[in-house]
Amino acid sequence: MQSFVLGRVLQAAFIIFFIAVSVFLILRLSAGDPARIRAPVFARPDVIEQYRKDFGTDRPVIAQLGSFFAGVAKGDLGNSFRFQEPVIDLIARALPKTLLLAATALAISLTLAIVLGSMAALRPNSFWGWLSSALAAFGQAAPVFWFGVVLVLIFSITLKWFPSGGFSGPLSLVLPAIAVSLSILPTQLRVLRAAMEATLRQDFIRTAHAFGLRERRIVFVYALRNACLPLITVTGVDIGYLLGGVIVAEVVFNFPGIGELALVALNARDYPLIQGITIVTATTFVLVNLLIDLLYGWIDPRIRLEQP
Amino acid sequence: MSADPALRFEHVTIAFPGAEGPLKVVNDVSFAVGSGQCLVIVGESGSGKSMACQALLGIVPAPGAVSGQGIFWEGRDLLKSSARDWMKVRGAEIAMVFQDPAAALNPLMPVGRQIVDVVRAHRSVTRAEAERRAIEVLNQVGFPEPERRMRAYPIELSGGLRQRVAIALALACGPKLIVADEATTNLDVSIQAQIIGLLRSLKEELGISIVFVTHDLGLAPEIGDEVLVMYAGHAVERGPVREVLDRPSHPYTIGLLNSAPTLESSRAHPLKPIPGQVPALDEIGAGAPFRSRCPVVVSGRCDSAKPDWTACGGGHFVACHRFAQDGIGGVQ
Ligand SMILES: Nc1ncnc2c1ncn2[C@@H]1O[C@H](COP(=O)(O)OP(=O)(O)OP(=O)(O)O)[C@@H](O)[C@H]1O
Ligand SMILES: [Mg+2]
Repeated sequence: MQSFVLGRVLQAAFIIFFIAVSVFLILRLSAGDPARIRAPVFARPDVIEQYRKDFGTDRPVIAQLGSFFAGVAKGDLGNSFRFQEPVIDLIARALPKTLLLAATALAISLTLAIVLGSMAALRPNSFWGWLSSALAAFGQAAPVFWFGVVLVLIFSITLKWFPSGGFSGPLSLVLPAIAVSLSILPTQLRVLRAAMEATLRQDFIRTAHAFGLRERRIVFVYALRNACLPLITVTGVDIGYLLGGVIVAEVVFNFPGIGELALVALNARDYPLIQGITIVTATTFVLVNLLIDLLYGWIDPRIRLEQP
Repeated sequence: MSADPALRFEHVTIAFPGAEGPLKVVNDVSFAVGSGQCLVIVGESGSGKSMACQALLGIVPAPGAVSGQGIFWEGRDLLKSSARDWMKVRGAEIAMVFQDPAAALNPLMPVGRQIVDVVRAHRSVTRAEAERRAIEVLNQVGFPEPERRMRAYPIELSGGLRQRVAIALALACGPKLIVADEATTNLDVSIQAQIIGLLRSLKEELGISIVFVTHDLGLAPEIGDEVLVMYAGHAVERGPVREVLDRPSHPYTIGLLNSAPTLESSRAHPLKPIPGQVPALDEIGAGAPFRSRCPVVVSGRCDSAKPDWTACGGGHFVACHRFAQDGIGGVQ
């Protein structure tokens, strides 16, 4: 188990390093000069050159790469070109909100997938079966930005129940979280429903029935634990999808998270900020996946005990 | 058999919808189990043994339909009782031990918790009391170090220990009848003997009635008082174990005995497998179920009418046209 975790951590470190280098190089090879964008329009060439010096983008790429990683090793991601502020501080302000939004969306989607998927597996021809098929199809068809706009039109502009954007408390989370959850719900719902159907046919479920356990306990305790294993797997795979949805929703809802910050950073060709956001996002992604693997072993003793 | 059997399974039919009408996987089968007695049900794969057991517990899978005169448990007809009443009976009064304990236990739950769950489903006790009960029954079935090892998951236990857990699960609520559906089939011979010994001691010491399902007629004397031979959903022979083994009267029973390996089987007395295969259920129709493989068919009778029970003496009955006609069902 320990060597397993150690291996996964090394693998994660390598992935993050690779991503950091790639982003660093891609930014410098692609179009757009941060100095030109930051400098006043029609600025003289020497002014622009001064900006380049300030930003450090006048040096050779290899030298820039070296000092960037020297900074990262000390926990310093540099200063933002656009905000003239340490990147770390900008991210520290935005990341918690993004994580909160992602976690809320995930919680909504998992709850719906588990409740609806289980009910649909149990009674495929009931209202539940219909509702879960309908939701899965709708989630598949409706893009996050469209659904977000619809939610704003109905629930904040017409009904005035929730704020239409920004971040001013828990209520601001509701609409974006619902919009995002819809993007990952279809896969989760389908996977849980299928896994639950398969689990309910297994022998140990028959045993539980034969011993007079209540159906609710059989489905939501005995079967659900087993049916959750594939759900956890797809959730791990879909974390990237979830983050993508979060970024879209942050833009639609003007939500001051990492996604919105990334958009600003990209438009300003703010290299340090983009690099910082990429590293932090990739680290989060890898950590979540590691967490999911550990969760898997924790739920399923067959995996835990087979580790040499 | 005692005068008032604890369980009477009377003319029960279990049918599944088929392409051409219902398929009767259990066809008008009756048996009874006296309290503290053991009935052995034998038959090849697909003869409907498990279905009959599942009917006893009311867990025949959909779309199977159970009909008949009744399944009388201590005087009341389970077929007519409500789902709620039946749920109180199963697991508590009638408990089942399944064939494959690796599959029958929840793989993601420690074995002790599964016993605790069953106890708490039927008795209003605290978790601590239920745990004490779990330890008690695990001790009873010879599960070593129950306090510690009840936290093990099924995968951490050997096949024999898993089957002991399954039996402990069955004992948890103090049942009066245990249905053991091929409870020893997947085990090594020595473990098999231990498990049969355990079941026999439950019968003899606690007075628990047992329905013991097996492929192996040779196991019947180890534990059984009565035996019921099933073939393709039909009951074909029944009676006290010694009677049936000493004077097998249905050609199928005789075939089973001839094909079973024994200590005496050798080159001089080679095993004689029953030729042919169990027919599809929709091919049996109105005649004797065994006729397609029977060496002693009565022409004109066996393919048109189902044989009635004929008494062979000593509480031993056989459903065979040949026996009814000649007083003998074949040569052993
Ligand atoms: N869910 C089902 N739907 C339709 N037919 C079924 C179903 N389950 C079992 N059967 C049929 O019922 C018949 C009896 O099955 P059963 O499991 O009772 O046999 P068995 O005597 O227990 O055999 P084995 O020794 O293999 O356990 C078989 O012909 C089987 O194909
Ligand atoms: Mg069976």
